[in-house]
Amino acid sequence: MRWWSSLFPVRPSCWFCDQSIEQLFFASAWSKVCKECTVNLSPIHPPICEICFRPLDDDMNVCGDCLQISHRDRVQNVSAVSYTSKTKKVLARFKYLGDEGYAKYIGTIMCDTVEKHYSPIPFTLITSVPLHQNRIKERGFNQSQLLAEQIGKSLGLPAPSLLERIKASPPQANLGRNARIQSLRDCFGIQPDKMQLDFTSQTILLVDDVYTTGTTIRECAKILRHAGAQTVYAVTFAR
Amino acid sequence: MEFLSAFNKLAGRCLTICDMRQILDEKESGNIQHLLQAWEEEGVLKKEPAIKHSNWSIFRKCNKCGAGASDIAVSDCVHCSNKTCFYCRRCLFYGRVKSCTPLFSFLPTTEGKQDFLIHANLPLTAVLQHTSGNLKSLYERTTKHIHAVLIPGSGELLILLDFLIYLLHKKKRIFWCQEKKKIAKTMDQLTLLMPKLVKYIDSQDTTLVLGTKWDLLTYNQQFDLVIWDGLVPEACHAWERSMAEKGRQLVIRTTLSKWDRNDVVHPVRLHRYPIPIPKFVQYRNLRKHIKRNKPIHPFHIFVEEVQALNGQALILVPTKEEVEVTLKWLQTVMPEVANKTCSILVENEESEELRILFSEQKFMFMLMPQQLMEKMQIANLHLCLLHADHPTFDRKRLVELTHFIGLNAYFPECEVLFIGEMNTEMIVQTKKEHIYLNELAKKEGYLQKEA
Repeated sequence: MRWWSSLFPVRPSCWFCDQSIEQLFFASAWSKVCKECTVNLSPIHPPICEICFRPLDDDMNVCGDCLQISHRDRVQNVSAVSYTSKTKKVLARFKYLGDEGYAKYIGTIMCDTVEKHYSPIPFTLITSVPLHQNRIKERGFNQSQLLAEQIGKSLGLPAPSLLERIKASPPQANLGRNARIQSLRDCFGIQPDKMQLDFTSQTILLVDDVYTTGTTIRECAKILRHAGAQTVYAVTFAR
Repeated sequence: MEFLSAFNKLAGRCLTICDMRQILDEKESGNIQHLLQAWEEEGVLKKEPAIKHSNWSIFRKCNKCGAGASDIAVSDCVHCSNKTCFYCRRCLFYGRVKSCTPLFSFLPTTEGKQDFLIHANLPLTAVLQHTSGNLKSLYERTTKHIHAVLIPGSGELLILLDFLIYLLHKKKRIFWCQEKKKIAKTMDQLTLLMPKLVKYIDSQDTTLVLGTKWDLLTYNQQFDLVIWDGLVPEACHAWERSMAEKGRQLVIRTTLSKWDRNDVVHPVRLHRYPIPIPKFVQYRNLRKHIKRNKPIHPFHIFVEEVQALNGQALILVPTKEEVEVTLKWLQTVMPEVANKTCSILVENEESEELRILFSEQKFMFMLMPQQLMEKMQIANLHLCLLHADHPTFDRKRLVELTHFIGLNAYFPECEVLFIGEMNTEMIVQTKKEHIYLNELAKKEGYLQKEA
């Protein structure tokens, strides 16, 4: 593509493939994704668990896993899409290959989900799940922070990085349920330069890319609650 | 010693530090900064940023793959703490490079590292020898590009191997560029034909390299010949960088080119029978007839012929949506044919199984979108292309589809039928190309006398 191509704009294409589609500027995020990708990404629809957003088959409001967690530790989560093979590919391109441009697309879809499910909640702050310094150096960016910044930009809220990872843990994608829970215990803390902030009146939205067992989200929420945050909600791209 | 052995591994390459660490052993990669400094002082190494950045977006360029401004994206960088650090989205799958990533180009060693010890004993017929001879003489005469047309089933691998061995004896370095999915097949064929040559390809020595065009990007002034086997050569600095000063390119195609010259044309298959010429049937309201489940007589005749010859047939349609519509039509109009038909919508494990079942004659017909069609080892295979006037079919694709038919010496005259609502220029050109190839083969005396 040469510079003069900009004089002859082509039809916009789907965010996650090269298929050209009809796009209206003010249309919702999903209208910018082609039908095939939408089906493959599989947006989550009710019935779902009220706490963790897991799709449910029966009339229960809360899933079995969430029932085992005490009321005090529960964190309400909403997710945009199911963790399908297409979602894995999209996240792999974003996280592991480092296509940071995907933060805009994924963030916009997550923002749509927040507006849809958390509309009455007056958030004051958006923050993200932190990565260990070694991982940031290796990857070059924190994917959750990029998503938080994108959501913050859309909702008009600040998206500072409040938390830090004290202990390096192995990649969660390779671990089982119990190993994940064990590996993330006492892993997070408030960043030293953010210690003096007053969290007491804050309603915080915590952003992450994938929700599997929810341990990461709960551990981060625990730290924020200890610091005095009024309420913590979570949003993830895939569940 | 370490200094020299490490350089020998990297000579003629263009790599990032991460790529280098994969090539060097643990001790060498631990000492890499020191080695790089020494090489730079010696002048055998050139360092440049992987992304050429500028405030003017049109001047931004990826030095690794040659991508222009449209593929360059901006990001915050934790490594250089720069708010505007650019990265290339085109070569993302082959390791991310950013403005702050240095790209190291190593000078190549002066000549081939080892004498080539293999002597060819290939089963070349007089026709194949003639084409190979043409390639050799052109290589000696031509300065930059050689364009060759070798049709499928013509013994193209034998021609190429004979040519390669000729060049390797002359201590030339060669990069054989293919599509990723084709490389494994080529290696299998080479293992059967010339296992010693496979050892050369597998060795760390870069006398002969078989790889993708992305692998080619990791070389610097290394090759005397780059073979673009079934690929379109990219005219950009990044790909030309891999060639030596007087390096040449051999472009191998399966169809004639209208725009480039065709230096060598090999118009006949190994069995030396003429290529089947596609028949075109104009059928008005074809799409409507299929939608309304009405019979289409030319298709009926085609099916009867295939059944009479006890053959198998591919029914191709332009898109996967058409597959569903055509399958419904078959089930209504010709249920007995639908029972013998398998259909593929997308490429997956199931489709691979269906292909195997089809090649084992478990099905008589196979319905699929044209883009999924690839070479099949089926003897008595016929082809019917519905909606041949669809805009997705260009001349090249139509010729390629026809070339898959009639490969077997026992069934060289299998039928190729195009059905469409109107006779397009593409269909006319396809027929003309086949007639031309057959006439050329006849004129050169390549065809069997009884054919």
